[in-house]
Amino acid sequence: MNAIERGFTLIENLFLWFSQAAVAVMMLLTTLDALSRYIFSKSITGAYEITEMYLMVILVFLSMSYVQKVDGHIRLDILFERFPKRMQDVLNIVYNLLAAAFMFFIGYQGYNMTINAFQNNLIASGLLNFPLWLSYIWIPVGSFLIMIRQILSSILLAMGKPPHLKKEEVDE
Amino acid sequence: MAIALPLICLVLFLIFGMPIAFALGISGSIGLIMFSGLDSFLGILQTAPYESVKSFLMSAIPMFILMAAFMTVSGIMKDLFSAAYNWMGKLPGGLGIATVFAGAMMGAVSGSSQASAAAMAKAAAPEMKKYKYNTAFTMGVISISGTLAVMIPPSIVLILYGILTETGVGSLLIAGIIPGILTALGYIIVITIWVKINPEIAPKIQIQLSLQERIRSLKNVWPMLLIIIAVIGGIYSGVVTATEAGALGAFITLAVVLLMRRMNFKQFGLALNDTIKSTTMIMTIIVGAHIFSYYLTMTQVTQKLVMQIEGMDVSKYAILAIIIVIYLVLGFFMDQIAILILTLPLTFPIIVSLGFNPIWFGILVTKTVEVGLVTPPVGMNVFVATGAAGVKTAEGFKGVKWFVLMDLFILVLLILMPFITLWLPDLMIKK
Amino acid sequence: GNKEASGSKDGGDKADDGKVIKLKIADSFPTSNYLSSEGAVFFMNRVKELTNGKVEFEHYPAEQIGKANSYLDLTLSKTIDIGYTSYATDRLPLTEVATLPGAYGSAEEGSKIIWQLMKDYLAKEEYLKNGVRPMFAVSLPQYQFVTTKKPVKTLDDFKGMKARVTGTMELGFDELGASPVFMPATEGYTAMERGTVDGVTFPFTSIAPYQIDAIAKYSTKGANLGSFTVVYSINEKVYQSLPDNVKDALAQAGDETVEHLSKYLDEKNEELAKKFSSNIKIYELSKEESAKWDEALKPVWDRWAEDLEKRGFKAKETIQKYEEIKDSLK
Ligand code: NA
Ligand code: NA
Repeated sequence: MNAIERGFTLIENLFLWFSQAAVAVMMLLTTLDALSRYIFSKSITGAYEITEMYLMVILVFLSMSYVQKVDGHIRLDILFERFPKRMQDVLNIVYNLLAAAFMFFIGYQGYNMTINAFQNNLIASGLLNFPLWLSYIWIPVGSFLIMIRQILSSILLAMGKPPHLKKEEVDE
Repeated sequence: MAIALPLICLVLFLIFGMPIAFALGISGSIGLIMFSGLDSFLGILQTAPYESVKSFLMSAIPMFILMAAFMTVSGIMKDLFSAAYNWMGKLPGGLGIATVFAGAMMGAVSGSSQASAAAMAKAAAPEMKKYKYNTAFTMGVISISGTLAVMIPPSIVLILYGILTETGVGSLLIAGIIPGILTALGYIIVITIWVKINPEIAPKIQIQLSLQERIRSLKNVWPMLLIIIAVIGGIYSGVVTATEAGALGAFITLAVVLLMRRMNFKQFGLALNDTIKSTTMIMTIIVGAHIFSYYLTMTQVTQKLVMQIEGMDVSKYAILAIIIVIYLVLGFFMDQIAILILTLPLTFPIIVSLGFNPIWFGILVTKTVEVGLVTPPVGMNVFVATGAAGVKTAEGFKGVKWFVLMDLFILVLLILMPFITLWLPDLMIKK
Repeated sequence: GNKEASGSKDGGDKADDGKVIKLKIADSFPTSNYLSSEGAVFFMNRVKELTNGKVEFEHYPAEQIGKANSYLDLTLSKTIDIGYTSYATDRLPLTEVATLPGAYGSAEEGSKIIWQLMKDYLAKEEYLKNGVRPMFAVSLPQYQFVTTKKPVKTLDDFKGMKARVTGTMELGFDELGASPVFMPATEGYTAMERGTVDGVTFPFTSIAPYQIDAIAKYSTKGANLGSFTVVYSINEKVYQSLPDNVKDALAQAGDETVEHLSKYLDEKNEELAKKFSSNIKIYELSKEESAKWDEALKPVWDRWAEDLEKRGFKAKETIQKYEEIKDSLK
C-alpha cells in the first residue's frame, strides 16, 4: 500500500508541476499582453484564449488532487475537530468515497467531451484556431487523479494509517 | 418534504465537516438526480465544472494571490508592517491599527480578501505575538482587515457583481472607495475603544524612537510602495484592466524581489504552491456552488421565494431590509461568491423594479459579503488567517465580534445615507 | 416533480390526452434585455396563445442554469428543452455566415435571410446533425465602431486602433490594420475610460446596458462591421415527440418572433442613434466610404470560409446559398 501511495504521489507531483507552470505562464502572458497592447498598440494574439481555455483549466484541475492531499479543501471544523479521532477517520472515509463518486462523474463526462472534441476536430476559431480537446482533457485527468487520491486515502484511513505518508514541506 | 432533502443534506454535510466544495457539489447532484433526472445531472456535471473554471475573469484570483504570496515569502510585507508599527506602535492597540492600515493598502492592490488575509497573517501575527497581544484580538484584527480588500478597489466581488447584473464595473469600483475608507476608520475606532476598556489585550510597547529613526525605517517601505503605485497606476492609466492588474502586480513584485535578492528558487516554488492551494480551493467551491445553485434553480424554489418577497404588500425599504437580512443569513453558511451567483439573478431585478440604485445596492451586498467572510460557521477569512498563523479557528471568530458589530453599523449608515456611496461615482462619471 | 417536463415526452404521442406540455427554455440574457422581452418571452407568449395554453414554459434567463457557452450541451442532455445556442460555434459554425461584415443592411433583412437559410439548408446541414432544430434566428443590427479619442471616418483611421471585438469581428479588425482586443463586455466602460482600448464594437442596442454612452465620444453609423445572430434551438427528440399542432404552433411562433424582434431592433437602433446623438458624435458614412469599407472587409469572408473548409465544413456552399437567398429577397 505504501508503495502505491508513494508512486501515486510522484504522478500527482508531476501534474502539480504543470499547475505551477500554468500560474507562472499566466502571469507572464497577461503582463506581456497588457504591455504590448499599451506600448505597441498590439495585443498578443491568443493570450486571452490561452489563459482562459488552457491555463485556468490546467491550474485548477491538475492541482485538485494535491490540494486534497494537503487537506486544502476547507471545511467547517468547529464541530468536526471536537470529534474523537476514530470518528473523524470514519467521517473522512465516507466523505472521500462520496467525493470520489462525484469526481468520477465529472471525469467521465469530461472524458466524453474530450473524445468528442478530438474525433470531430472541434475548434474555437479566431485569428488562431484553438483545439478544444486540449482544453477539455485536463478535466478527466484531474478528476480521476483526485478520485484515486480520495480512494487511496480512504483505504489508508480504514487500515488505521494516516491518509498520506508524510506532510509536504510546503504545507509547513 | 422531498424538495428540502438536498438542502438538509447540505446543512448536515457542512456541520459534520465535509469539505465545503464537495458538500455543495454532492448535495446539488442529489437534488438534480431527484428532480430533473439522470440525464440532466450528467448534463450539468459536463458543463458546470468546465464553464466555471474556463474564465478569463476568474484568472484575477490566482494572480492577486500570487502577488501577495511573493510579498509574503520575500518578507517585504513584513517590512511594511514594521515601519507601520514604528509610527503607530505607541497608540493604544498600535499594532492592530498598523494591521488595519496594511490591510487597506493591501486592499488597494489586491482584489481578493483571502490573499490579503493570508499575507497579513504571516506578516502581522508573529509581531503581535512577540508583544504579547491577545490571540483572539490578533486573529480578529487580521481576519477583519483582510475584508478591506473586498470593498477598496480593485475587488473581485465588485467585478463579479458588475458582471452578474450588467452594472458598470467602473462605477462600482469607484463607489467602493469611500465605504472602504469608512470601514477602515470604523475598525480603528473599535480597536481604540476595545483597548481602552481592556488594556491587557494589547500591552503598551515601551519603545522610544526618534523622528529620525522612524523616518529611517521608511526606507524598507519603498518596494511595497513602488509595487502599489505601479499597480494602481497601471489600472488607472489603462495599461491593464482590473482583471489583468493582478498579473501585472505579481510580475512587478517578482521583478522587485528578484532585484533585491529577496527570493530564491525554493521560495518562488512556495509562492506558486500557496497560490495553487488557495485558487484551487476557491475554484472547487465555485464549481460546487454552481452545481448546487443549478439544482435550486431547477426546483424554482428560490424564484418562488423571491416572487413572494416581491409580491409582499410592504414598503420598498422593508423589502430591501428582508433582502439584506437574507444575504447576512446566507453569509453565515455559504461562500460569498456562490451567494452572489445564486441570488443576484433573482434579487437584482426586484431591486431595480423598486427603483433602488444598482450601484448602491452593489455596495450594500458587498458589505454583507465582508460580514459573511468572518462570521461562523463558514468564515473564509478567519479560516485563512488562523490557518496561516496556525491558530484555532474559534479564536478568530471570538476576535471579530466587535468588528462585525461595527460592520453592521456601517451597513445601516450606508443604507440610510446613499450619498456616501454615490457621491464619488456621480462626481466622476458624468452622463 | 419536473421529470414530466422533459423525460417522459419521448415515449408516446400526446396529441389528445389534454395534458399540459411543459417546455424548459434557457438563455443568458437578463429579462430586462430587449433580446429577452421581445425575443424569447415574445416567442413563449405566442406559443401559449397559439396552443390555447396547452404548452407552458419554464424560463431560465440570465445564465441561471449555465453559462452562455453551455446551452447546446444542456439542450442535448435534456436538462432544458430549448436553449440559446448562438455560442456553440465549435459545432454550429456555419451559422456565423450572417455575422460576417456587410452580410446585410438592416436587422430585418439579415434575419429574413438567415432564417430562410436555416429552414432551407442549415437545419439539415448542421443543426439536425447535432441533435437540435432551430426555433428562431434573429440577426442584430450591424455593429458600429464607438470610440473615445478620435472619430474613425476613413480606413486609414483604423490603423493602430485598439478595438474590443467579439466573434468574427476579430478577423475584420485584423484585416483593417487595427488591433482586436478580447475582454468581457462589462469591462468595456473601464477599458475605454482609461485607454486600454480606443473603442468598442457594439450595436446601438448594447451601448446603454454597458454604460458605454457615458464615456464614448464618437460613433460610426451605417458601417457594416459585422454582427451577431441570436439562435434558439430545441432538442430534436423532444421536438419529434410533440403533437403536430404544437409543432405547427412552434413554427408559426418562430416565424413571428423573427419578424417581430428584427423590426423592433431596427426601430430601436434608429431611436437610440437619435437619443445618443446628444452626447456622442454619431456620423453617417457616405455611400462611397461605406462601400470602400465593405471592399476592404471582403477578404474576411474568404478567410472564414477557407478555415472552415479545411475542417470539413461546407462554408463555400453556405455562402453561395446565403447570397442566393439574399438576391431572391431583394
Ligand atoms: Na481591493
Ligand atoms: Na460566514
